This record gives sequence, C-alpha cells and structure tokens, in this order.
Amino acid sequence: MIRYLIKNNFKIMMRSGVNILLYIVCPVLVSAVLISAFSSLMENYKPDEDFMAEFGAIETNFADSINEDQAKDNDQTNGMTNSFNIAAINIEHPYFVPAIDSTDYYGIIEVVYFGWCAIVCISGLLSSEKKNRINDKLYVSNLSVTQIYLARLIPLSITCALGVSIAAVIGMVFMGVHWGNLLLSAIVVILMIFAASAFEMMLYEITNSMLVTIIVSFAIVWIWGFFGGSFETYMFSPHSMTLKNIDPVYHGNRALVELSCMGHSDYVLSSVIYSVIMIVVCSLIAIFAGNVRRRKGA
Amino acid sequence: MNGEDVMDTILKTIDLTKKYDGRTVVDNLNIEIKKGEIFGLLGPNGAGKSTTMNMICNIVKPDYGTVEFMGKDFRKNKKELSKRLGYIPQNLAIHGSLKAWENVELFTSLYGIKGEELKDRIDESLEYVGLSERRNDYAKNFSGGMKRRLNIACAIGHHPDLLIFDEPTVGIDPQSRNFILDKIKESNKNGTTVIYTSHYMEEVEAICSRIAIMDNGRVIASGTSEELKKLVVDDVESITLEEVFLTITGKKLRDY
Ligand SMILES: Nc1ncnc2c1ncn2[C@@H]1O[C@H](COP(=O)(O)OP(=O)(O)OP(=O)(O)O)[C@@H](O)[C@H]1O
Ligand SMILES: [Mg+2]
Repeated sequence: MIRYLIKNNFKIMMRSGVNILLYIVCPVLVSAVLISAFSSLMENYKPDEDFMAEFGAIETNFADSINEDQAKDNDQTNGMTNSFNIAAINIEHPYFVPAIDSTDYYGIIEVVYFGWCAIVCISGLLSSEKKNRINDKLYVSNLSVTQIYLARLIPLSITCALGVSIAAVIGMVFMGVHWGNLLLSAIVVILMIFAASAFEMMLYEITNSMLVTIIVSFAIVWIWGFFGGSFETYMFSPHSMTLKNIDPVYHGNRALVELSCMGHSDYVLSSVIYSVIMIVVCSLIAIFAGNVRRRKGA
Repeated sequence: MNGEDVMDTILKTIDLTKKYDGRTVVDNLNIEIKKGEIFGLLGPNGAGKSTTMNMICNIVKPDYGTVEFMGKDFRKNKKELSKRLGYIPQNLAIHGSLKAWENVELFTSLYGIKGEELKDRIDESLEYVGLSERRNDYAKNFSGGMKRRLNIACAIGHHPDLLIFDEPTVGIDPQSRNFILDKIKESNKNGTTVIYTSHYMEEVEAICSRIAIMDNGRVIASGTSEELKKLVVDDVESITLEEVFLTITGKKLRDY
C-alpha cells in the first residue's frame, strides 16, 4: 500500500525548484556554450560533395589506415553501403563520423547528461526525511526497506523523465534539435534516467549522506560524461574504446546521436541492456544496504 | 485469573535493554500497561524514555528483552499488530513541503486505508486536532503548536488501540498544550489506551492514571500520583509531584 506514499513523495520532488535548474537552465546554458564552441569544428566534418561521389572508390584504400579503436567506433558502418547518410567522411579522419551538427549533438547530449544528475531532484525529499525522521514512522507502520526504496525510486524516475522530456521539447522547439527516431530515443533516455536514479539511490543507501552521494555521483557522472562524449564529441575524442565500452553514458550518447542522424543504431540495444542491468543490480545492492542499516538500528 | 490478566494488559516490556556505545541506556525495563489507562512515563533528560518508546514501536532493536503487545511478541507479529499502534514521536515527523492534509494522507495510507475511507479519515484526523481550516496550508508555514497538532493527526487516522505520545507538548503555548491534553483525555474516554512521556509534572498528574518515574534507564518508582507522593511524605497534600520527582531522581543535572 505505498501508492499514496509514492504520490506524496512525487509531490515533494515536483515542488522543489531544483528541477527547473537541473532540467531547463543547466542543459540550455551548457549546450548553448558547447554548441557555439564546437560548431566551427564540427562544421569541418560536413560532407564534401566531390569526396562523397568518390567515396565508393576510395573506401578500401583508407580502410587499412584505420587504427583499431577507430575501427571499433566505426564498426557498424564498415561494410555498409551508403544507403544511409554517411556524410562526414574526411580524408584526415578516415573513419565514420555521423553527419550531426553541433546543435543536434549537444542539444541531445546535454539534456541527457543533466538527466544523469537525477539525485539532485530527490535531495529535498531525502533531507526532509532525515531531518524529520520520517523513516522511523514508516518503520512503525511496518513498511519494509524495499517498499521505502521503491517509494523513492519510482517518483524520482518519473520526475527525472518528465524533466528530461520538458528539456528535450524546449530544445526541439527553441533550438531546433532533431532527435531522429523519437520512440527509440525515448526508450533509451527513459531507461537511462531510471538507471541513473537507481545508481544514485544506491550510493545514498550505502553512504547514508546526501552530501557524499551528490559529490560521488557528480564525480562519476562527470567521468562517464568525459569519456562518453558529453563535453567533447565521442567521435573525435582520443580515449580508448575499452573505456568507452564500459561507460553507460557513451552507449546512451552514441545510440541517441546515431538515432538522430541515421534513424537507427546498434547502440540502442547495448544501451538498453546496460540500463536494465544497472537498474536491477543497483536496486538489489541498495535494498541490501538499506536492510543492513535497518537491522543494525532496529 | 491468568487469562483475564492477559486481556487486561495491553502492553508489557520484559527485561528490555538497550546499550549505546557500551553505555546502558535502558536497563532491564519491565513495565506493564493496562487496557484503557493513561500511563505516564516521567524522567529527566536522557533517562531513556524515547529509547524505550522506540523499542516498543520497533524503530530500535533491543539488545535484550521483548515487548508483548496484545498478548503476543510484537517483533514476531509486526504485520498483524503494527496497525493497532499509533506513535507520536518527540520530533515533528512531517514534511514541510506537503500540505496538512497530504501529510495526514501519507501516514494514514501506510495502514492500508484508501479511497473514500482514507478521505474520511483525513477529515476526521484534521478535525480532531483542530486543523480542518488549515488543511490546504503547507506544514512549513505552521506555528510550533500547529505542527505538534499535525504530528498527532498523522498518527491517529488508522484508529489505533494504543497511542504512544513522546513529549507531545514541548515548546508550545498553554492553549495548544491544553488542547492536546484534552484531546488525549477524549481519546482515552473513547477506549484508546495511552502511553504519555513527559517531564512536565502537572501534565502527567492531570491526565495519567498511573505513573512510572524513570532514571538512568530504570524505573525507580511507579504508581498513582498519590502513591508516589506517599513514598516521600505521609501528607500527600503538602507535596507536589515535582518535589517527589526531584527527591527521587536527585537534583544533579543530566549532562549526557
Ligand atoms: N542513537 C543513539 N546513539 C547513541 N546514543 C543515543 C542514541 N539515542 C539515544 N542515545 C542516548 O541514550 C540516552 C537516552 O536517550 P533518550 O532519548 O531515550 O532519553 P529521553 O529520556 O527521551 O530524554 P529526553 O527527555 O531528553 O527526550 C541519552 O543519553 C542519549 O544520548
Ligand atoms: Mg525523549
């Protein structure tokens, strides 16, 4: 019977002004800065028409010079014909670069990046719970640690998904960001938001400290974003493929960018699987940690 | 008779013990609360009153001992028995960013009450503490006395048989205090058993049928207020409960 608890926790989160900052102000500001900073750079990788015409002929020639990491980055287009828009091929960077401009790239990536900072949305609720010792009363009514966890995770995920959706719509309407395949993008984004929520709730259950959770979450998300293309486009970043492959942000970013410019991506599946695994594993750890603490206390 | 005894006793602690960092905070505590009474638990700061209440309510796990509620081991029958207990904690367990009625809804719904019935219980609880008119105000905008009353409303919606009040009148004006005391007496008349902890002697004397004085985790005296006074002097009219309390617990300050 946690329906009403979920509802009221949701209200508390929606009433906190931090959401507007996190989902509207931050992504708009950061993407605006990055779009303008990178627009000229990304302009360089716009298709060269003469080159595109000759693409078929030279394809085999430059294939040998591709280094291994780059090849992996490119694996899904290797061997494909130009049935879709293989646009941004350039002799100096002879590997696949999706034809995406900086507006679409950063318009999408920054909205998602701030979605990864989900924990901020629930910080008000968690500190109110702690300060007012709400959990004690939940225990008196015999709620289990799992129920309490779900009553936080579910509204948190919904709040974040809503926030990200609003931010995405703002980007589409006012900045002209194209998401490509909206349905698949929504699935990728929403699952990623749920994974972020579960991951950060797990950190909170383990540390039992809002401050530590926020610092650790932001640090990890920043590292993931750094290697996953949230600041510098993943196509041109020099980081190793291994690092990128273990990075959930990279999988999501790449799926969304490719969905935007090509309408499909092999990374959709890997991103979805990654998110589902994170949701399950993090929730189990969070509930375990919560139970350990509860058993120590009561 | 034994069977009658069990019926008569609503709650019983058996050798309840809790240690924090090696210091015994509640020490082999045995108290028995009869059905239909208002039982007062008095004690100086740090005596272990709240810790005892927290153990009774399954918030804190005792190091040793059991709590029998309705004749059954409470910890082993939480699912069934939790519904019959209402707990008003010493702190204000309410969310400031929820409206008064939303706070009551949150806590009342935890006991499986829903839909129309839940709405009725919310109205009834707010009415009971005199907050019906302020039901749509955020709790953070309430005065201290209103928050205290809301704290109570959040614990009564499921119609418990036993209500535990942990210092419900700290930091509020005489009007609110009298209101709360009257309400406690009213609930009791309607059949609810009450455990009331406080260090305000007059309150306890005014409403409690039986009193236990607790110090350093132990009950050092118990009985009606008359019986407690008789422990100190023969002429019960010549002494207040406060003097009894100070005589029994000593005048040393409690700085731990
Ligand atoms: N979680 C805890 N960890 C360590 N010590 C604790 C904890 N809870 C209570 N104590 C200690 O146990 C003792 C009893 O505290 P308790 O809150 O039960 O007293 P009390 O009788 O309710 O006092 P008051 O009248 O101030 O509310 C105090 O010395 C307190 O410092
Ligand atoms: Mg106390």
